[in-house]
Amino acid sequence: MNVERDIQGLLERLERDARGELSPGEVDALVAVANARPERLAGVVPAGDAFARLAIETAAAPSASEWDAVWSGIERGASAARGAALERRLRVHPALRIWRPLAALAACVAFMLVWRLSPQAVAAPWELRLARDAEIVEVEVTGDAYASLDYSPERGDVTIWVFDESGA
Amino acid sequence: MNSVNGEPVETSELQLVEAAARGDREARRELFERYRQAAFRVAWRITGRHEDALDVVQDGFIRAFERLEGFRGEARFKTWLLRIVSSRALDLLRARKVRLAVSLDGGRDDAEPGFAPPAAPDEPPDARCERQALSEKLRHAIEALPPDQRATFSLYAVGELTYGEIAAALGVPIGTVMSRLHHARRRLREMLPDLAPEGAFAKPRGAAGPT
Repeated sequence: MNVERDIQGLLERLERDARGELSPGEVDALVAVANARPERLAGVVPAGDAFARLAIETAAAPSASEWDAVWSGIERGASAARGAALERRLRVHPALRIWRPLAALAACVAFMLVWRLSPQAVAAPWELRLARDAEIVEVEVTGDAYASLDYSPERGDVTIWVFDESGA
Repeated sequence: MNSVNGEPVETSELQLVEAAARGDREARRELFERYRQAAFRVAWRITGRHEDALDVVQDGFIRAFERLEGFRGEARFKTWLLRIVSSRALDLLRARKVRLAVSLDGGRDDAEPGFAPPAAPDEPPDARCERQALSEKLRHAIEALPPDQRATFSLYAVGELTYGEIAAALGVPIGTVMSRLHHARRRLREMLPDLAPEGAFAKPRGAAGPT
């Protein structure tokens, strides 16, 4: 009941405010109430006055062709906005330009680590085989030594001898 | 049925908004037809220029449709749209002031000369002239208000918006709306003393009213 009476009092004050009848102190008090209990006034339509009525009566009104032009613009703008939104989604974010190759590199490293550390990889034996069809182009030795190649057609192999100059 | 500020919201509007969010052209057109005039009035009262207001309305609807997926129905579509429109209109107003400030020719380009409000078909010429003169006086008086008061008065003068909706549209507390409206009216009374406010009436909207 008190709330209803309070609201009635508020509405009366709002009407007086619209007529310019409130003192600055009363206006401040009204504003304070509105800020303290906004829910009481949230659903209230402000009191009408001559200015608002005149504003509505004398408001400009676009012609039908102007409205058509506005609507066309809205449709064009909406489709452009959709296109832009799609483009934004498709566009690669600058951060991703760096992170993409980094992520690929990290994936490679992780794959290598997994492969190297897996039991199967560790257990894999090294397979040694003699090279065939290899050609020794040059043999270089340092110091006072010289090299000599001994080819044995019977065995099919090459023996490399390295001698000290002194013959030791 | 949802409710906003204690008032039931038409399900058809929510359905329209949902359809429009899915890109339904007819639903968008319906929303445009319903709220274009209110959006234009707010934009026109804030910018003071017919062409600018049309641009603002167009831009406002594009932005509103673009962001419809984020609209969850906490407010009416109209409130949400008017928030976008008033914000864009104020941006335009500020940008125009900056352009004027840096303009070297000193010419005033923010006035809209002689725009006539629409006339009723059977309105006598004298009455039309008088109405046009009143309209011009009011327009100049509103343009003389500070931008915040102008935006508040423009939203209020659209009619049917509650204090809560105006506050939501402007992103300010209800007390601030009340204060700005009070000062706007006081200034208008000073500038237009011959337009004495008649019987004012504040009313809760709908049956629910304030609780």
